[in-house]
Amino acid sequence: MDDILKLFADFWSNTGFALADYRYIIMIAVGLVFIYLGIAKHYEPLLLVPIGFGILMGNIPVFKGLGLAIYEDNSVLYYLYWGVKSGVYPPLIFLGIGAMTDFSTILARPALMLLGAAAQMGVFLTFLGALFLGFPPNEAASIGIIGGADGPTAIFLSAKLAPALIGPIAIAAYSYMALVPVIQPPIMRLLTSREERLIKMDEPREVKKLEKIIFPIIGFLLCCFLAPAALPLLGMLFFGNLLKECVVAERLAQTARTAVIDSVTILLGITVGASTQGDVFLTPSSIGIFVLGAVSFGIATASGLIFAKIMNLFLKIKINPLLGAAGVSAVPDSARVVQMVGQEEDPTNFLLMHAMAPNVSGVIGSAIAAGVLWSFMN
Amino acid sequence: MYGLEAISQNNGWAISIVGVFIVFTGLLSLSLIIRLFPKLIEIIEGDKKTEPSPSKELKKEIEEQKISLEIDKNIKEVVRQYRYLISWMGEPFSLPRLVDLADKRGLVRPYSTINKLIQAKVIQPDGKGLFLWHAN
Repeated sequence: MDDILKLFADFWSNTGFALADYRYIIMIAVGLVFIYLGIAKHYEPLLLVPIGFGILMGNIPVFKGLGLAIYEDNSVLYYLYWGVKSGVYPPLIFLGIGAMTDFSTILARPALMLLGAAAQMGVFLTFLGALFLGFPPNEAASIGIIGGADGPTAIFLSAKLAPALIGPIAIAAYSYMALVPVIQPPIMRLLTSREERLIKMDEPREVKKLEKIIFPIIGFLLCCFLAPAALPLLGMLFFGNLLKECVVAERLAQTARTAVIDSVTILLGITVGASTQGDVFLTPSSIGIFVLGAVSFGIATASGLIFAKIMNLFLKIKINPLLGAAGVSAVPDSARVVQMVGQEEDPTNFLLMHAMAPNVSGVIGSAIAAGVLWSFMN
Repeated sequence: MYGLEAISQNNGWAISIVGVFIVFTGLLSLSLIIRLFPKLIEIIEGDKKTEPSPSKELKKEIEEQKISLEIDKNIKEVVRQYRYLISWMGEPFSLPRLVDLADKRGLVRPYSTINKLIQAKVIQPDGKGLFLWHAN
């Protein structure tokens, strides 16, 4: 009888119920919120559902030494997480993004690319803010990139500069990306007048196929000669786009924008979520990262809006300054938010395709910013 | 180390200024090169004479004809799909809600289709911020 009771006691001591502490419970609650936001509110469901479930997986308290947890050598999750730690997954996601992005909006109106550059001010101002708060430079750079609102770029830079912070940075970046429809509209309304929000944009010119084929080659060469450290991200982005536009490699483009990006998104989402193990994740620096991430995202949005207003001082044909908010690279959510806020004022104003220009240039801009920060920190 | 001292000590001001400058330089130079694309294409495609561009009025007329032709071509299917959605929503209806519903049902390019329906006056504003269906 004693043996049976002892076995039960041993079994109990190894269960999650016995091993759990409040940190795991908090993180499980966070995971459930992510899943709720993804499924019920449709906030970035393709990201929040895998990340949310990953948080649940990472916060099942397990007996150390069995090789189950993500931070234990030789566990399955450890190997899957390698793609995050080594920076392999983000370029693969960029390949898929390139293969599904139509750059014709920036080809038709290249001046709007500057809005994508302006929004990157948030990255560098937050970098300063993180230094101010006492983060070391490599961690400050990784935190700053959250302002780019580009999850893969944030993960890539953190993997290179501050691997210990990948979890909180990735969660912060994806949370703010998912909350674009909540965070951006108040800033947009605050910084623009009704008259400005009513500005209608001219139809963009028609873009020839040859221009679309030349663009990824020229774009890649120029950006990577300028910021070689952005090569893994921009190389894959422009390569994916070339596959799409050249038509002759449609099968590869199709694979990149479906099977590749979907598989990598699943692996990245689940492992980033699992990396938020309560005892590792819930630290004061994580809270600092979340606060700075929100500030960074707000500054990036405001910078884009203000820069659009400055551009209007010099332009004969005014642009709708709401487009500046799409300079953050949360594609296509921030462009959709621009459309939504514009239509609140005038339901016949269609800004979506115009907002895609700063939006996709924001992707390029944040990858350049990441490359620049990486090269400065080495 | 905290505060401004930490920023100065870690070369933060210089890194930020140079970083912003590089990002702007990259995207500005890319946008300037893109501006040259039409001329470049003209050179690549040889000395094909470009047709004189039509006047603004003519352009508008052509555009309207294009829209009406396109609407005629797809009218049955588009009308069927959107009429179904609108009858489900009830009239007058909100345009963002229609776009959202069309998007969720997987209708192709809802923004552009609804824009064309508005231009063809199939969907008309009711003057109070909502819209009515006027297909005959």
